[in-house]
Amino acid sequence: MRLMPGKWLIAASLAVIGMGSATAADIAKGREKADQVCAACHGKDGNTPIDPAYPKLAGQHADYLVRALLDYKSDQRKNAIMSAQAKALSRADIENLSAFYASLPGKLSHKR
Amino acid sequence: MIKHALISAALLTLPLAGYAQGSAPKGDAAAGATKVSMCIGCHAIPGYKASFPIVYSVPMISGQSAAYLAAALEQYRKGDRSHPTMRGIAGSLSDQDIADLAAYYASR
Repeated sequence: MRLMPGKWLIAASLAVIGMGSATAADIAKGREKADQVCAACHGKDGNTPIDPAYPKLAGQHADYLVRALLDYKSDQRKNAIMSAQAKALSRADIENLSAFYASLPGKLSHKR
Repeated sequence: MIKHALISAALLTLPLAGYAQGSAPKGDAAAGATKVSMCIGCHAIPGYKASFPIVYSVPMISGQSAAYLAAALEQYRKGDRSHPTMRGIAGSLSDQDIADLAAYYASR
């Protein structure tokens, strides 16, 4: 019983953290940016890239997409096209774009 | 003279032979299914996160296109992508392994 206040504090903290990450990105702004800079190659739906060597993005985890774009931006991940694209994006653009693509229905899964 | 001509002809065809060998092997999804033991420990677990050097969700690769998956593995093997675990795993794969795994995951 004495542990209860501590437990509630942890639960409340986790809830706040959860809310924070859910509201950080703006999907509508992400869609707007995606239509301008990503759709031409990755497809408007994020599922129909114009070249099979380009990945499907629809439904992919947002935090993975953020990581990929940040790595392109810093040249940690090397690709001439994506490096140039990512360097033109702000941190907010990257968060918004990732949230947008993660929100689209896709064919990607963790299926074995 | 004939001998020299033959040698010249042989030398001329060498780059072509090398090019043919260097082109990507055809992927076999069924063969790929037998090679996933190093993949499933992370990629088959929904919600699993890479923990080193940075924490983020392991990407979903089932249903991704084969050409992209093969390119990704080749980039890890070559060092154009830096994730340490993936670099180690891709470094242990042959061209055929990469083609087979890419075909397998694209078929899921």
